Amino acid sequence: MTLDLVDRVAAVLRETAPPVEGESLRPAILEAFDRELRAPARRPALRWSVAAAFAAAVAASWLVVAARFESAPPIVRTPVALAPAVPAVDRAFQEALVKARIAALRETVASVGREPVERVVPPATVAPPARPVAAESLAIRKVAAAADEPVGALYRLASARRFESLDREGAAERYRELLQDYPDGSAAEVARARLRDLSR
Amino acid sequence: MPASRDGELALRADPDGELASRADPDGELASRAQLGDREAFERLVERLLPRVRAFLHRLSGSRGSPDDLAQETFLVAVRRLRDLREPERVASWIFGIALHVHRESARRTRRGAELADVPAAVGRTGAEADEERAIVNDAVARLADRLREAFLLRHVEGLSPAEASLALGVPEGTLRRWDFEARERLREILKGRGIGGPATRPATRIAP
Repeated sequence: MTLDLVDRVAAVLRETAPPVEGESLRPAILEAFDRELRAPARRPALRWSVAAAFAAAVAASWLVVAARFESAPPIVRTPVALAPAVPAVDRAFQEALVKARIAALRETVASVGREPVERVVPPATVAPPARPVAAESLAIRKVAAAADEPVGALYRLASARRFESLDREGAAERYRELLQDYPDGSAAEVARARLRDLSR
Repeated sequence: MPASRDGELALRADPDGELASRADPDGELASRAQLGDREAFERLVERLLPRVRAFLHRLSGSRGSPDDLAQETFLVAVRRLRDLREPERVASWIFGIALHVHRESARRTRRGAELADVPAAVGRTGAEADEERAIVNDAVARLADRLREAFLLRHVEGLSPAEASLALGVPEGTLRRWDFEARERLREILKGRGIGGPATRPATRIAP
């Protein structure tokens, strides 16, 4: 029988077997299950008491901060800061970032009386790459170019956002890792906001 | 996830017949495990652990311990099982965690995700088979990480495009493109190395 190359490669790879499974592996996993999921009665109460204590601590510290900075100006939320309200790297987020960036460019251009905005953003930076890419990848590249944001940070953001539908804690972990690697910038700001939302 | 032979056997072996009418035993088992059903969890581990171990082994070659990585994967899964929103997608979810664990491990050790040596093999023996395995493993190791992950999930683990894209955290279109690129690249690498022509024995086809 003639096999396609993919089938043949896959068949060869399937011949690659891991070493024999360690005897302690399954017991360790099942023990973790017993610990985590077989004590349902105590956990909610514990969680609520921890949550209540945390809320009280936050409220107390907020009162102290508020008293000290009563006259501080209100925080102005930028379009980027509002972005977490919509799915990451969706149209609204892209538009917010692009608009913010282009608005800033327009202001700069107007102030020095130079060329129109369209020339300030070099076409090469927003042009589609040579190879055809999926719509989301293209959108991410455009946003990255327009907002001076690392492409990798936006990819990670999109990936974490997508994982939210499956597993919120897993998504939170991805946001935290994004923050480790890209602590500054809009993607970090969005990741922080998503983390705050997820912890509620 | 695609119905596997193991899945069919598990359905037949189900003593209560509870799963008999279910097309997705993994999803059913995950739902029950979320409620604290240990037996369901044990069966889920039985079904998914070997696949996850093999996948991690293929990703990390002889440089990583599949037991350590698989244990970490399942411990994370146990911790988050109650938060799993769509139990029917448990396989994608677990493979997604496994990928994450593997990448973190590779980053920590700075050894990359290479298939450094040809891992131990089952099935065919002999010099010719060993050589073919070496060539194929070397070709797969040359793929970029994302292409290798996409290829393994799709063609070796047998996940559907939707499942694989979910595990990788990318849109399905991106997964399809990576898969296409991986196949093209493999074709290029293996061209002229004696692989790609007619094979001498049939391979088990996993669901598309």
